[in-house]
Amino acid sequence: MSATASASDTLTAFVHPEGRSLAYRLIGEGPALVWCNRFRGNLDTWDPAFLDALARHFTVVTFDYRGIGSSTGDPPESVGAMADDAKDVIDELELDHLIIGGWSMGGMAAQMLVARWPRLMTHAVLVGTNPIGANSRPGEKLFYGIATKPENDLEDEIVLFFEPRSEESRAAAERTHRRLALRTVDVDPPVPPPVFNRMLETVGPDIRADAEHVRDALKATTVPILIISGDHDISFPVENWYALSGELPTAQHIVFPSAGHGPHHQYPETVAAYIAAFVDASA
Amino acid sequence: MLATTHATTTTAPTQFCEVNGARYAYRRFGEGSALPLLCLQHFTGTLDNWDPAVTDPLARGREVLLFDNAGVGRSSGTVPQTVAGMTRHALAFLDGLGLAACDLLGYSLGGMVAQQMAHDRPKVIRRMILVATAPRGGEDIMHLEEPSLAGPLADPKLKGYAVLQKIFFAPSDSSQAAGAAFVQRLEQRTEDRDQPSGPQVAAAQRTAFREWEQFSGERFADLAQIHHPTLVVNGVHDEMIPIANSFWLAEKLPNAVLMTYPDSGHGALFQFHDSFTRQASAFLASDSSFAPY
Repeated sequence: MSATASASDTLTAFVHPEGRSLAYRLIGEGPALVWCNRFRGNLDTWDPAFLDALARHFTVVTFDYRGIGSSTGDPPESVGAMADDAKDVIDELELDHLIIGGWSMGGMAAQMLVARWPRLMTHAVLVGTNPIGANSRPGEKLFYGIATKPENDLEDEIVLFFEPRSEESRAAAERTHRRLALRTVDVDPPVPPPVFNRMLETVGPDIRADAEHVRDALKATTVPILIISGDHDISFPVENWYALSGELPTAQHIVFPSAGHGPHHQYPETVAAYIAAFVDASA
Repeated sequence: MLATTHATTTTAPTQFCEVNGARYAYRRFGEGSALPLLCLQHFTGTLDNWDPAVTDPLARGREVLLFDNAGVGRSSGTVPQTVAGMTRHALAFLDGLGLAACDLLGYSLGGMVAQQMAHDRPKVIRRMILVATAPRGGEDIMHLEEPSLAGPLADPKLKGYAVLQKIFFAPSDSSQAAGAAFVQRLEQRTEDRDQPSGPQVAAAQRTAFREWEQFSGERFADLAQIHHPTLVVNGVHDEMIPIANSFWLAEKLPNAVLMTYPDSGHGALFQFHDSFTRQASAFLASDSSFAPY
């Protein structure tokens, strides 16, 4: 474990809850900020520029859910299982007073952590995600077509995570793509189609069902929540947050222009600065 | 020009600028190399209605300019009945000071003037912050006849700034406490104060709100012409200019970041002054051509 390593070269480590192996990486110093990952995400799909910028303020922890990347076991089939894995990493690393973060599907897991274990955390940060439960505006068809291709190239990444209509966003996508390629050690295995297709079939309906009433818990929580969205997210439309406006008593919302599902990859330093300012101002 | 280095929102002397036969009351304070920040005030607000907890932190690194539009406070003339008319005065004021460029903080009615300034004279404006405001063609803009607003406005028990605590803040205990603190900060200034606005000011400004709700042609099309980096801010429980208007601004302005605050109303910037001034300062410090800072 090294506090001085950067996101591109820090080595993968493991915790072993109940004989399982969960892979994680840790950089930086300060309050712990634990990130729950997106659909098809592994340790290598976080933009290192974003994590490095955060590491100037926080101890930044990323991890692989069970059966994903370098973690053992069968892949999660529910948001609850994803949240359990985050909780196991948190407990094994003995983290508390932490900030829980989540991107995309991981944002749903983070919401569940807020609902289940609010006293663990001081803040929550939800990026490129939607309220857990049923939402009126579905993701665009374009997303599902590309998100389930066996491999995604740069052009796919532009459509999935950025705003193809914006030259600046396309350029940002290329920069992220180059930064993601910087890692040469401890490369994490990609998530194969049978695994991610199974997750789409199982976790997807579980999110919409919201059997644990996580959305209701968010409406009564005291945990300060920062929501960060792109103005044109083809998978989790920002309008689904607007529909809940006024019902989430602790949620501050920031929406970026000409941005899609990955605003923190498009503006890595900026989003990290917003998160740091949010945590500072409501400490 | 008076030395303003050590002046603050509470202590800055009122000055006057004469241009085209009009006389505008203003205050300036703060210093730094950044462009001046012109603050455009809310419905019936005067120079005395700026919260020191907002405008003092923003004055670190730049000069802050507070200004009474025509017919308000100690400025001459009558209050225009359109936002466009108020915009002409604001631009004349900049000309009178010899300012070729500035940033804008437009709050409520002032946010409408800010949009019109950026539209009419884009080169004068670099970056702008629009708080608790609405685009032309927006909805439910300052309908003070609605019970939630008409009640407090007509309540004889609510003296002075107490009415602002009621209508700028959400009903929750936390928001009302923030409102009480806001009122105390406004009361710190005891000398060289403006006269509070009377019914004539209110009537003309209300006419301007009704006119601002009208639009012709494609709704919100004008916003596509405003390319300035913009920060749009509002509280989610704003009863005076509902937050849907901020959603439209963020959606239709091509280069705007949206920031919303929970548990707050029209005065979210006063309630969350620490967070707001951090984010606003970072936004104003940026020299990017893109709104994210």
